[in-house]
Amino acid sequence: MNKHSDNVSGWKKFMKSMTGAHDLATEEDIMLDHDYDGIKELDNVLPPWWLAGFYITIAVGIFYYVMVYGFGKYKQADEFAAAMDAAKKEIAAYKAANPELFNTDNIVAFTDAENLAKGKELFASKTCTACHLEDLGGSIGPNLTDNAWFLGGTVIDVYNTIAKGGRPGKGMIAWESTLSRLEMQQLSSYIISMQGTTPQNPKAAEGDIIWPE
Amino acid sequence: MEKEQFYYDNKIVKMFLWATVLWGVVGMLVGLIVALLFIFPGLLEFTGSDNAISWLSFGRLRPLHTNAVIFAFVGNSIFLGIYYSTQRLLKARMFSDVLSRIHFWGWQTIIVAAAITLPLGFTSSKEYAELEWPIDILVVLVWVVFGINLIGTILKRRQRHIYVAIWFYIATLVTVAVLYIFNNLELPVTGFKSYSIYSGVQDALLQWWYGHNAVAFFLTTPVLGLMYYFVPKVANRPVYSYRLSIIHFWTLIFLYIWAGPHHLLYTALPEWAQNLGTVFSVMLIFPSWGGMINGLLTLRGAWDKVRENPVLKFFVVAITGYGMATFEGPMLSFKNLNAIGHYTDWIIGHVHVGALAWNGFMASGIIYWVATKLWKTELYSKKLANTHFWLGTLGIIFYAIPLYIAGFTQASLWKQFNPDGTLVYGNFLETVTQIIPMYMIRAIGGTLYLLGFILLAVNVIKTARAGSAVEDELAEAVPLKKISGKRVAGEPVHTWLERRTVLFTILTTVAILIGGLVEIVPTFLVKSNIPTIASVKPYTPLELEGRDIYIREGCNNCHSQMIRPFRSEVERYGEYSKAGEFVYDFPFLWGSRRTGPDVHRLGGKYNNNWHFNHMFDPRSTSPGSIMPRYPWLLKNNMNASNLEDKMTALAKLGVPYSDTDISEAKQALLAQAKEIETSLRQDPEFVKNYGNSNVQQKEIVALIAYLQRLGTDIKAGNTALK
Repeated sequence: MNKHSDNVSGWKKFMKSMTGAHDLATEEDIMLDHDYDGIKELDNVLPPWWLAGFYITIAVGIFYYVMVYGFGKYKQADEFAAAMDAAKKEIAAYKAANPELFNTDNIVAFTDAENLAKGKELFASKTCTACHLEDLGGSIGPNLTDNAWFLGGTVIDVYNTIAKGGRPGKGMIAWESTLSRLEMQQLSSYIISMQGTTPQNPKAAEGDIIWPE
Repeated sequence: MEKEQFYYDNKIVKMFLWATVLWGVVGMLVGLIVALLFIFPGLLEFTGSDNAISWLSFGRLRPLHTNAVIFAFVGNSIFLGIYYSTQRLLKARMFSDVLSRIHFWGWQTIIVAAAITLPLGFTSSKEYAELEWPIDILVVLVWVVFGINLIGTILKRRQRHIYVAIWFYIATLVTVAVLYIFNNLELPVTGFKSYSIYSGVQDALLQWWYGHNAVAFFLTTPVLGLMYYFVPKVANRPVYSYRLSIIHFWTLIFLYIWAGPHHLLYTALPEWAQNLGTVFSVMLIFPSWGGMINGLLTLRGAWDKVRENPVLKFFVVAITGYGMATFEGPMLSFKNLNAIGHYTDWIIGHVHVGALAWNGFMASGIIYWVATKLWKTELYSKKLANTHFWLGTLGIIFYAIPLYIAGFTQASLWKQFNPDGTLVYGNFLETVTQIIPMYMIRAIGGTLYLLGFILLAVNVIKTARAGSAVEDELAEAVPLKKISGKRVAGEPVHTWLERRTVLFTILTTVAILIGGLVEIVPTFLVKSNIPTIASVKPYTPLELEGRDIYIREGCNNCHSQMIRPFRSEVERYGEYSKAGEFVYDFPFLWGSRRTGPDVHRLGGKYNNNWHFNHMFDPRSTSPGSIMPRYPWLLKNNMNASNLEDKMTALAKLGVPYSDTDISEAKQALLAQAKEIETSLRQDPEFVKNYGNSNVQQKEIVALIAYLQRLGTDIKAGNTALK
């Protein structure tokens, strides 16, 4: 072809077969008679790698359609059901293997200063104060110093409320994924310890469970 | 035949050039400001945080940034390049100087109108189509003027065949018109308030048919046309492959239009439409890359010039960025990658590779080169242009990479479970605070990019001062001899088509209509696409007012209302969203990015006092939150004066409001507002601070009513399909 062609390496040959590019030195051969404001156009072939890629993506498209409409794959509802199913089994197995982590009947209130201080600190740092206020007098959420409760006033009830969240629609989230068992125990102990204190501006009593019953 | 003498209109090019520079600086500056709001939410609270100014809040500035960059910066840069190249490629002055001026000033008027109305909260909420109806009409009129001017020039050309750049301009002209008109069909209520005539799923499909193809036909095809003119021109090299131009042009415009639904994967959009979006996106890779390789290979034999010439450097990075973004897009259209990327910063990073590299760098290269032609002089400083190039390139890297990391990180945090089935990051906010450092680096990247562009402004101003403008440039060409429109023997079909410009335009129109029609028509006509749910009812008057406040504040810029059918989302937010839940949502508010959590099942999650305190100061209930404060909602009285008109308009669109509903709307609104105030008064803190204020008349009450309604209709229990 041209004078360099004898010592063209295998790699170069391969590249040339992929790009299909005409040699620069002889590009006049494929120059079209176009002239747009001085712009000329060559008539290089569609690069074979490009064309192959295009065909492959079309094949991928067809494959995708066959999978969806021929074999019923990639359906949202199926994927969702499978994920939920798998999760249910995993969680059940975990609960069966670690029953002690899910038993709240044995939660007792701390009375020692150290744990109560930790509870107080958590009450402030975990945004409890945003709804119940610093003195527990209640604002967005109920007053925690009186003896009226929606979800029960034992340390176990309070613990469960913190762990699982408040009544639906009231805004208190479940804390069990954020706080450890010990932390929730410290927090509920602190709340119980504040029973009967007098907040500055107490919210009126709410809830129909009066504790102690 | 004798050569004719005529003049190119350089003045109009110059006008668009200055507009590009000006709006480029403005658009990027607003972008930097909104980027800083992620790190310093109180940045713009000059007047004290309790008196923050409504029109400086994120939800209103973000659309201003996107619109300014897309339509003002890139828009003007496209027109600059089109007006420069079209005249030269067709050997004719623009069809009408008057139309050119109307186009220019009309477009700038639209931009100024957008810059005023978007911060004021006049918005239709649909992304990149936020402008309200009077401005929409102006956009269409100006576009028609541009169209007449372009087609007119094509018809009076002195060049027999139209060059590939012109093909792309024609595709742009036709498709943008079709997209813009159909996505913006809306029923006006007042001078600056309208409702989309589509609701829910259909509105979402129309919006992303538009949104995706705004990227295709406003940010891509015209710029490909510019590439085909300016790259061979600046490099002084022939275009690599004419055949490739033909194949990639037709496949690109035909396939692009189908890909819109990839913005709605795993949503309530019917799955057949989602699958079309995926498949056509994948098939788009090579038509897109056809443009990239034809651009880059045109530089074959001219790479030594690339080292020397900053303009070519800009072009090379631009085209490479285009190749990267058009590979990434199809990858994101696969459902498994989309499940990770959607709603995260990955998408923001992805679009900025397109915007900063492809659009920004093409525009910059063109500005530098055209400036030397317009003012007949050398560039004031090549060194400055090189500095711009490096600042810009670093800016792109520092912008995109942190957002990719942020996107992946946040998506994985959203999906992590504890072995007991609870979410590891049950509090959404924790997933935000973790990526704040990435936002800081992103802001640095943006700053570098903006600095680079300011250097361009300086350089161009200096160049203009040094040279002397030639406003009407003399040119000559032989006029076209009339020949038969029939194909002559041996004339290739496409060559023939290139001289039959009207037929060419018609075929282009057909090519771009097919995909849209196939996807949109069945979604409207086939009932089974949107199964109705009996318990889904229209909004009450107060909720409707609240929804309009939600739209005005641009809440949808950060909060989605579309829970995907994933375990992690159902665990976090509740039951996944169903198509039938959105039938009364004019417009749809699904959102595209979760800077904050999804709110589709927000109703009933928190009590009214929580919302009240949270809107006044998000950090009072959620320390570390980056949400803006909305103190004005507590101060502004609700303006329900158009309530009946709004309901009448919605009734026309198919919402079952009865005449009684409408005539008694005010009473219903007042009653519901009073109820909310009563519930707010249970909180002694509220009574202490707002006890004497007539809160039931304030906007906050309407917003609370809407937020408490969100997603509750199917919680009511009746999810049975009709």
